Amino acid sequence: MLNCKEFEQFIDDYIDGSLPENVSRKVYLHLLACGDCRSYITAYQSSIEMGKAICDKLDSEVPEDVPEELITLVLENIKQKGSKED
Amino acid sequence: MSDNKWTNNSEDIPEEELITRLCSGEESSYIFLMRKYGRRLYAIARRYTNSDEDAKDCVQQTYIQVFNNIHKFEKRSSLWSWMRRILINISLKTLQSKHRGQELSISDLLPEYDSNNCRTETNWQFTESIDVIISKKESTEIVQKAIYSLPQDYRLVLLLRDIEGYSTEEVATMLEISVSASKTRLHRARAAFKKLLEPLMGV
Repeated sequence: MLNCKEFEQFIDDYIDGSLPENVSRKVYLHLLACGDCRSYITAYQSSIEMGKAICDKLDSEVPEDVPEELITLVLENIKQKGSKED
Repeated sequence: MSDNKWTNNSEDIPEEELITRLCSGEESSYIFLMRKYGRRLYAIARRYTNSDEDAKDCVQQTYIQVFNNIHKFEKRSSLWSWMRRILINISLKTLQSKHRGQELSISDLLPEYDSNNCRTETNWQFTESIDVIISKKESTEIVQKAIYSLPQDYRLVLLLRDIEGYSTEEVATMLEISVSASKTRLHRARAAFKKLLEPLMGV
């Protein structure tokens, strides 16, 4: 039977479903027996979910307008490069 | 097609057509692309650099690189994915050139065990659904603070893998580390991130 510290190293592969059958079974048996690790893996997955959801939310709230300064600087740079090549 | 349509972004342009016009060097297509994606790219660059000025520079460099290399774009991904990859590579290079400053030690953020190798952390109590937690303003602040509190080597892996969605192998390539180092860092980063989010759960 795995202990909590040994269980820890398999968490990501367990979540991804990429563990070999025999190891996956050991992890599953540990989770059945250990309430702390059940709680931990739920919190671990939730924190990934919350991080992704909040970053996506921040990205979606970005205003549409783009500073004219950026457009001007980029166009100038491209033109300078073009004129050097001519 | 009027120039106005290209520059005010009131309508979307089919990607195939946009790429053709970018390749032919039409200024209005450059402006269209900058207006369409500029802010989204800025938000991503800001997440990596944690600096308004550096984020602006990264977006500017990205567009210059995109316009100068558009003829090399092989369409194996969408134009957005290609641009985002260029932006992230530029942001990573920018970070490498900066002094890191004081960082938390990752070992202080990892799980703890007793002498029998049993967990000793306090369990999270879910008194609200994840959706409710996410919708709160203070959650955004805590998550952002947690991301920036991670030591840089771990923060980058977490951002690339869990936020941007790159594979472990892609993350390893982008950071020039081995796949096994990428996996180890990801696990530690996730464990540390979970610990840093404890204020959200009243722990």
